[in-house]
Amino acid sequence: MRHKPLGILCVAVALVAVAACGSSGSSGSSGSGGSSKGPIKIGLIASLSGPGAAQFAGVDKDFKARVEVENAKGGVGGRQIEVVVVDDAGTVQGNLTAAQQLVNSDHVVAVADESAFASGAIRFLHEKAIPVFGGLYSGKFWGQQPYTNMFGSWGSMDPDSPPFTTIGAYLKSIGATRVGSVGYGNSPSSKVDAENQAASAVAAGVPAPYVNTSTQIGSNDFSSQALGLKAADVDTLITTIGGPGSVALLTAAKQAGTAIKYGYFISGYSPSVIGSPAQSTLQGFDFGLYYAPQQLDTPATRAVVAALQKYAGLSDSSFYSFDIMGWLSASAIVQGLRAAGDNPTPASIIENMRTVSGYDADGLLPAKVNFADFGKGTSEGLGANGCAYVVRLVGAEFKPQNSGKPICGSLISK
Amino acid sequence: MTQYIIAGLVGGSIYALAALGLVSTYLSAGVLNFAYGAYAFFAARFFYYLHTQHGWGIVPAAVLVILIVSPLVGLGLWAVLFRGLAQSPTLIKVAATVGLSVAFPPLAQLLFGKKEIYGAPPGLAPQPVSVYHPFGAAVTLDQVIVVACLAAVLGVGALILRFTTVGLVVRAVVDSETMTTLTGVNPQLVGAGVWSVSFALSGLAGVLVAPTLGLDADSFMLLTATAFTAVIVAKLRHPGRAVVVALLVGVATSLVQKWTPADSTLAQKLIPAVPFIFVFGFILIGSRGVTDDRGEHEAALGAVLARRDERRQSGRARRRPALLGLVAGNPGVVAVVVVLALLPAVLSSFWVGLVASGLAVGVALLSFTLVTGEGGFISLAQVSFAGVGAATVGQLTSHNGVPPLLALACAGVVALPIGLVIGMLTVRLGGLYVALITLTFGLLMDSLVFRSEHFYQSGAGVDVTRPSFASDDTAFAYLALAVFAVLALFLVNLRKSTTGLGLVAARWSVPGARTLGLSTSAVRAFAVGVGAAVASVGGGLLAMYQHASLLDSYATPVGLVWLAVAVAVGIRSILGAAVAGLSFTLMPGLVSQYLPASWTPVPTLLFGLAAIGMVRQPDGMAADVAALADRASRGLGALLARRPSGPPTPGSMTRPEVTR
Repeated sequence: MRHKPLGILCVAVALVAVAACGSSGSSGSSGSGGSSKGPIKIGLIASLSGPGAAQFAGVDKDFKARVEVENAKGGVGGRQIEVVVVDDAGTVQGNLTAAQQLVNSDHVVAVADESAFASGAIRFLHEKAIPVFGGLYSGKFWGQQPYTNMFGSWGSMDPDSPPFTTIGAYLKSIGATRVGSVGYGNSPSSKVDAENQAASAVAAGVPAPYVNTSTQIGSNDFSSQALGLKAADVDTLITTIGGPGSVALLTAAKQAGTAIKYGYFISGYSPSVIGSPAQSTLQGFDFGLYYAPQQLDTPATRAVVAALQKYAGLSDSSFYSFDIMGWLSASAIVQGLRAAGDNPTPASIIENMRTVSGYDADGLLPAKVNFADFGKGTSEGLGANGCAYVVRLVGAEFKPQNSGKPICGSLISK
Repeated sequence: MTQYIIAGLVGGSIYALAALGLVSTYLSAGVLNFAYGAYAFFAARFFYYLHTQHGWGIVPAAVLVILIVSPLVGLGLWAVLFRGLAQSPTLIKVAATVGLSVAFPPLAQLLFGKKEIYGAPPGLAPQPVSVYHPFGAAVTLDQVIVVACLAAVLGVGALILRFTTVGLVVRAVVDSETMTTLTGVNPQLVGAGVWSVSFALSGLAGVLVAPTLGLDADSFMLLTATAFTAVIVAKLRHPGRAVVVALLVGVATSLVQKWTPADSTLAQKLIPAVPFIFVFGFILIGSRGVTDDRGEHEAALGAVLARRDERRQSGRARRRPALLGLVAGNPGVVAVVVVLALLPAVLSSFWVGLVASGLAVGVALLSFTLVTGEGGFISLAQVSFAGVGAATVGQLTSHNGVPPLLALACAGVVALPIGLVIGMLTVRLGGLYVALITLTFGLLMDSLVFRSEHFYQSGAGVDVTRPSFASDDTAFAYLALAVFAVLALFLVNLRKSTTGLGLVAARWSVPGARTLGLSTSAVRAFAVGVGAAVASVGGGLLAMYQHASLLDSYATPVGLVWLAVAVAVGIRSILGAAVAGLSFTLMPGLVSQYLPASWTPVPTLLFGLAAIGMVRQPDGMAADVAALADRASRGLGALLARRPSGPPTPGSMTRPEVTR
């Protein structure tokens, strides 16, 4: 009995020692992200499991493909780029943990945060002065002081997210006369986007008699919204509720007998639609994109397709869609590494990336971006400088609209 | 108006189908299956996998999922889990089925992969789905099938349960297994049959509602929670009433959408509040006559746990009161304390971060130790109270300049009255109602408060300041440890106080406690209030760690995982709360560091499965590990002393024993 505490302490200390060894092992394997020799290590956080996993599928492959393209050309400053991918499991805590791993264990010089839960890591990454790249998730940070370490894949975002004339003017040009706009009441970004696009329509002289920002996340039962759209006699539908939700809403609206002829959705451009029941539902409707669609068939898109086929397993019969977010953030990081010179560090990337202008991700963005314009640029639901590409589903194909040129607009003063 | 009523009835029918399945299972198996919706999702996802992804026809896919796999799953779970669960206390029933509900969604992702599904997933109606227009409202064939199945299950179920020998036997087994055995009926066979049918119904519901609901696990959880509203109002026992209430919830939601401007704040707030309004109305008006019906099963578990505690206390009393004696009598505790104290100092920064956040979660999980471990009932709103703490700390430190530690204390003060009110409204109704109503309350908080832009800030939350001395993660981990220690000591003393003893007395026998002059409801409501305050402090601490009140971290589904971890480790163990908090953060960290990304759902799956272990060991893994540590230390001590180990100490936390 006398020796029992000693025994216990031995066991406890042994446990801690094992844990410590394990931890030092993992940190010991960290690379030389900031050293002047060896590969440059960058990190990607993506929701590869949990909520949103289906949407973010392939983002990691596209990210790596863009890096492989750069590595095949000799890397940046003669150094190869090494990628560490961490899954955040679709939670804010997971996002923070992933960022901590990348910074504290893997010692990356830059992080791409391709997750709807990016808000989890943003403050940590700012505190550690790590440059962050990504698809402008969790909106405000991408243009809000003091988070000048954040670089959106298509530039900065106005934290107030004001409406642009872009979508309203486009809808008027295709013949829209009465607009209904539907967003989630419990998703502020979706709500603001739905309100903005309704305001955009009104600014273009197209009435928006039905604006629904009280729809709740979690149900695809849109029968009441369908009745509301029918009562408002709208012929055009704008949704900011994600691709699957938009299809369900449109289906309900059609079943209710609404006379909807036009539609503008910010989600739904996907190979998953082709051959699915949604294909017939979405016939003739438009989709706004932040990037040049593969169907545009420009030198820029052809180069991307070739790389994705080579490195990411893109098949001849498919096309890139949301997964391209990984490519876009990798492109921006590569730009940052180039701007930072021979020995890129987190600080030098942040400093020099803010001087980059005329950036268009090698021709993929709808407008050129000036990264010095922090807090200006775009709003919810729009691409670079308030512009967007538009494609329309015709048969089994998404066809570029507006003669393949992006639609653009100006800020609407509130 | 008529169109909206029809739309509401059609929408309400999917809640009604779920409510009917829940009440039927409760009536025939004595268990309210919190995993009902989670399995419905699993079945719907399986059907989609076969029918859409692999081209199976509707009939073979439906037959395999609904008539073969679902009954087999029910049978398998009966064999390993549900057998005997009807004779378990409510606490264990709720915890085990919540654990199961946590496990099914990650299992579905592991088995069927991830796929973005556009449009309504197909149901049992052939594509393209026919649409009918009664009174101008659109009703699809899928929805007609839901209504038809609802009527069929309601009618056939009522007939069988009320008017057939089979029904009589099923009800008899629930009432008294022993008595039924005396009549020559094999209760095991009845139980196996009931659970097979129950899971077949759950599978059917999943496949039927998927076209309306979509294929998202959280949507199915919301479906179950809304169905619980009907179950509550139907007082758990009236299938017909549950169906009517579910339909009324659907109609009320639809009419709110008609009568309130769709872009108004009123509509945003009122629509998610509809189910809670029904629950609130029930609490105020309809709950008369509902009493806490804890019986022999609670008393049996109480006797087992009380015996353990007495043994532990008597063992301590025999030892020297000196520190050395205290240490020697609690080898497992000493080991955990030493490890907790050393971890932040020896680990690398990545792991220290996980330890710090894990300890913050551990503080919040301490609330389960009080409410569930001592009080004996499960609150599924603890994570919401933690969210209240996070929001409070954010507002006070960021907008009002209140020092962080004072803000942390204020977080507890803010949550205390909310918890007291919830406690006063629910505890008198019994453990099952507490779980159901707190789940509804939690979901209301998610939609109404946490998603309010004032707190939510597009998901980015409000900045939260840490105390200046705890700006780095190592110092913060020790701060979290200190807060944990203070609250743990508070709970230890609360256990010993008159209030604590009254709480335990009220847990095991309400009449007995009342005989002693205790106000059982007041004592238990007090526990819910204090539990809310503790959870709130934990939530505030987690927000400090994250530098922000990120309210997605406090969503009700996350709370189910918290409960699963707490139960798995040991719901009555104070140190177990710390270990559970650490498990919650460290296990995903280990997976992300050392395993492929496809393994990410595994920790949640394991948490859920481990929670089911409460059926075997009510004190969770903490009891098993403590026993092991005890044996190991005794062996080591004997080895060092070069003498054979002595007999088992009377003060060991656990020893092999039958819990039921």
